[in-house]
Amino acid sequence: MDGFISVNYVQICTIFLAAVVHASLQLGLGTLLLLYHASLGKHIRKKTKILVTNYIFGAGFLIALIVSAFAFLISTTNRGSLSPEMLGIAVSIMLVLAIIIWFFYYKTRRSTELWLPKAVSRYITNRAKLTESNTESFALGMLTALAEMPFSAILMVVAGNAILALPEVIRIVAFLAYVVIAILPLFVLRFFIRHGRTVVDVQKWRVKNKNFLKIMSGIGFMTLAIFIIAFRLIGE
Amino acid sequence: MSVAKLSKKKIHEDIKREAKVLGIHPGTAEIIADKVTEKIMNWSKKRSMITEDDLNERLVKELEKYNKDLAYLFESKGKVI
Repeated sequence: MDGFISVNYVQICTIFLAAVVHASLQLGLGTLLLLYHASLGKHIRKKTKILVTNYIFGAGFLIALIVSAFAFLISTTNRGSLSPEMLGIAVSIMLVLAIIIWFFYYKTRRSTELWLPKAVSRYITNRAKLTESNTESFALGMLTALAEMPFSAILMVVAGNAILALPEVIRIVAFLAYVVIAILPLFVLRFFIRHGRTVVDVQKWRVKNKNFLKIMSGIGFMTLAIFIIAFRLIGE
Repeated sequence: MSVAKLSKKKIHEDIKREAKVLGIHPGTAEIIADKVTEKIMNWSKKRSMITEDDLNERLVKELEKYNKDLAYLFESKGKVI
């Protein structure tokens, strides 16, 4: 029973940590802010609320799809879990990403412009401005989840691997928990905007706290890497 | 750096739209838009060429006199992601 609990504890912590690090990434939040900005200037509040909801569901849907795809890939090609060598590579990638986040995640010091190529950020910004229908906002959510992949892919691989190691009974709960935690900042933003904060308040907060968020994201990646080294690579 | 195509109507509409984002009363937004647009058009007459950045900078400067949050919206254009 103790072995059962400790193995599940490691997997659950891995999933939770990966989800929290995923939630700390800023592209989805920034794009949602752009969507709010564009929509509040054109539509009534009710329509904006529906567009935002669809955006959040789009992001969550794609994250769910990618995590399950990685889990399926791992289960069919790696005999149910990643080998220690593959986990070692995953850990190395996470350590590199931690350093990249600390030094290259934001382009300039005075704004929250991200690492994205200018053409991509312009494209996403224009899509957010032109979003009129629920389908478009759902697709925009999916697009930003996809655009974040250079940083989030490894988190979803590790989470997918950890989900597979859980008993079948709690796999679906762990899977849903990952998705919900990863998109939690979007719900939080929605809550604050609906309760009186303006897009300016949120953007100023993002600019003011971006160094803190960047450091925490990097620490998150390193913590997850060290956790996997300690409990999966050395521990086993 | 691109050259700005000055349009009184566009500047006016932009200001009103951004004011709506902040929930500023339409009447107040109309007054701010009228005053700022007039100042921008007067400022532009003294210049042979204006870039998008010049225009945005001037808009921010003029809007700060009326509403700092409105000015911030223009200042943070293209800098959110």
